[in-house]
Amino acid sequence: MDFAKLTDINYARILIRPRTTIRAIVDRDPRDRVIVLVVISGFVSALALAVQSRSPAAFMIGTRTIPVIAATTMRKIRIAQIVAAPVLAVVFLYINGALLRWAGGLLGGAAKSVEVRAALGWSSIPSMLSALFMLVAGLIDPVPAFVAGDPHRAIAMLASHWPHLAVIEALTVYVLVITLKCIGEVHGFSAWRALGALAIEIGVWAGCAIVLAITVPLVAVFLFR
Amino acid sequence: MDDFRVIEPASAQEPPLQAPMDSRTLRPSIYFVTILGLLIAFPTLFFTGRLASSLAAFAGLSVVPTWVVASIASTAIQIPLIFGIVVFIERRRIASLGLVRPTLSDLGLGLALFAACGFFSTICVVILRLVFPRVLAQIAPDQMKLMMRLPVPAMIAIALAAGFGEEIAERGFVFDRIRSTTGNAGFAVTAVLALAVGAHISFWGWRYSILLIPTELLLTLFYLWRGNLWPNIVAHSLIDSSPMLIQLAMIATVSLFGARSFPALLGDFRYRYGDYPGAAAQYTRALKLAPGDAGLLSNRAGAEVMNHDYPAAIADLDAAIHADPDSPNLLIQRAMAFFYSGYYAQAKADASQAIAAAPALATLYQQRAKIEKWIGQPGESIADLDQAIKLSKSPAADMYADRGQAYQSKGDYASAARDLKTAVKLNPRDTESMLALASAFQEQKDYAHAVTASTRLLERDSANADAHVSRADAYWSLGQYQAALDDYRAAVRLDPKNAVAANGLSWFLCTCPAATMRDGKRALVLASRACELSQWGQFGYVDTLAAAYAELGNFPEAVAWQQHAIDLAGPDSALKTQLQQRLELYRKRLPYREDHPD
Repeated sequence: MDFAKLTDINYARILIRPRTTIRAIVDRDPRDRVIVLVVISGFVSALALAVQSRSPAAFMIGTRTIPVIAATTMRKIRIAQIVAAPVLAVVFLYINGALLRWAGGLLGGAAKSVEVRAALGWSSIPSMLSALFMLVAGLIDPVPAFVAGDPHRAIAMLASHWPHLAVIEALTVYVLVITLKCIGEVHGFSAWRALGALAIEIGVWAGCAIVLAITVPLVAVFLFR
Repeated sequence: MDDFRVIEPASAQEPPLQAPMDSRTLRPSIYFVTILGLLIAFPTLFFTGRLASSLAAFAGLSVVPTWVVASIASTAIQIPLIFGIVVFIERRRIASLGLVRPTLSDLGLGLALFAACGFFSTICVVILRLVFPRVLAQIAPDQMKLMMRLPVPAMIAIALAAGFGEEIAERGFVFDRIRSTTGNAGFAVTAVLALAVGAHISFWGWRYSILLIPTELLLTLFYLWRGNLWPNIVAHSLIDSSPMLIQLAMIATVSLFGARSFPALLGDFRYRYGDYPGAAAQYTRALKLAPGDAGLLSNRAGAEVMNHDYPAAIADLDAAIHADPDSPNLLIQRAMAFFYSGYYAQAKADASQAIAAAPALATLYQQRAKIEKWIGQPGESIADLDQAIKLSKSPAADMYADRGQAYQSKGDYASAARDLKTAVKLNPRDTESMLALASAFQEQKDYAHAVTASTRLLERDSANADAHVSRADAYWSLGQYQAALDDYRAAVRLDPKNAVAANGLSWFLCTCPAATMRDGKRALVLASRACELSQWGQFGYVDTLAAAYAELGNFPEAVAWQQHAIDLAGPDSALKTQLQQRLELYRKRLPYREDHPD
């Protein structure tokens, strides 16, 4: 193991000076540690989510009790998530890298896919920190599961955990800003335009999701029923 | 912002096929072409869409095929015309409409645009519904129903036609040319937005059209940005087809995880939107998967009843009852199928059998009461409704409405008025009961209350011709001739094919004691219309025709028609006496006057 890489100042510098850091990384070697970073980020995020999420035995909608997945099954799902998340993170790195390169290109960007992947990989460092915070907070002070159909309880839950949730929200915005600055830098445009590219990418995902949500059940019915 | 600029209009990027004209010849041609394009691009706005619908209707097609034919035909005419203008008048390439070579990128952008349109439209609808909850409730329900009744291939064809037609004509051509003509992109966006929204008003109504603003704006701005029509065509086609496809996908998902098959759920869907032949066809498919299923047979029978195919419904219900002999629901359903097909004895027998199977079920008594009322047994109908009301924890408004009407049939107008008042109180939207209540007051000679009841109904539904007639009758009885005349006229104006309204106004115009209000010629026209609408089978309308002839001084005709009215009248001696008295009057060459209007 290259211990010099573990103490690389870029891990910290990306949090403060994202543009200069990602420019230096891309100019040196855009493939450097990108896969490792997204694998770790995927793992930590899935772990944080598993600790953070508490599944109630049942949801209450009005006065009706709606049973949800059993606790043992839920644990299995969480473990599967932790195992699958790093693999999926790599898959989505490549897909999102291609989509953001294309969307950025529409807005005048000039990055290559490998550079966009570098931007995404290195900008996952702040999201790793955010996930670590969620992990620790989840262990110390778990936020109860959201109760569907009971807005009063949901509001009371949010109010009682507001410092915790406020930090998470602030970190989410911070992660987004860092990501946009990194994408903007590799494309050679502003973070606002990177936001536009991200919006186009989200639009493509949403459009695909809707089309799939329509076609998959219809095709499945005609094939299997 | 140096590299993020709006792409120039497609027409500006394309070189003309021939040498450019000088400015003096070019300007009028641009204006001419723009106006020509407007006329082609917005057929609905300029009534050619309606013309297409009228032609399809003239060809004998019903509403749904008419819509399909009109939509596809107008696009099939529109696109070649636009292409013709571009190639032969403007001397430009088709690419100048933004129809460049399609790429995978266009598909991605189309999907993103589709999602963005859905997102912003949803936000717009939510905000508008919060601000104007009443105005935007139940938007275009009839049009939505019509859309949901379309067969899936027809709906996809319409969506594709709209996607190609509207995008090529409105944005590819008109937007581009307005922008070139005025040199002002903002003006072009506003103009096309207004025209596109306005073009939807004639079919969808203004409330739905307002909700299209975010989508139309996004589509136009997107074209302004990209100068490429393909993403717009993809997004537009998806937007138009998604309401029905999303519902079908939900049905498919439920069928994959639920107990009911896809055809059965699709049958329910078709039934809900009034496509009864389609529903029956789907239930037939479902029955192939589950032969003899009583529920599916019952559902298909329901669709067949709505389709007026009563023998098929009865056959299905026979099979269903054979499978589940003690089901009161199936028995009462067959009773109603017998009832609608005119087999009243079997209908009542089935209803009685259903009641025997479930004597505590109030609705069964109510259904039997309907049959009894229809076959002229108001006493038994009232007894059944008494039982239905007694068995119900909170009796429904229609139980009181039915009993009120049964009392009315029996001639007990006081009890009828009491029940109808309760029905209206429980369901203030029940216009039929409101009208029956006004009639009950009229029969009791309580004209002031009859006026009040009709006025309340008119406050709710000012276009109800029957309510105008009802109030006119009450005013007429109160001797308030001008008010009566106004209401009769309103009724005839609102519903020119309403024989009761035409007869009422005619009778007023030829028998009113106030000479200044009489108009024999108009009375004759209206009486003839009422007779034609009733196929000359109503003695009361023929009586009015005779009175109109008498008012005009044509007594030989008056005598002849009055004699015909007497022949048409049944053996009711009271009415015959009145008709006879009028005949004697005409023989003495005297017109009839309503001295005592009631």
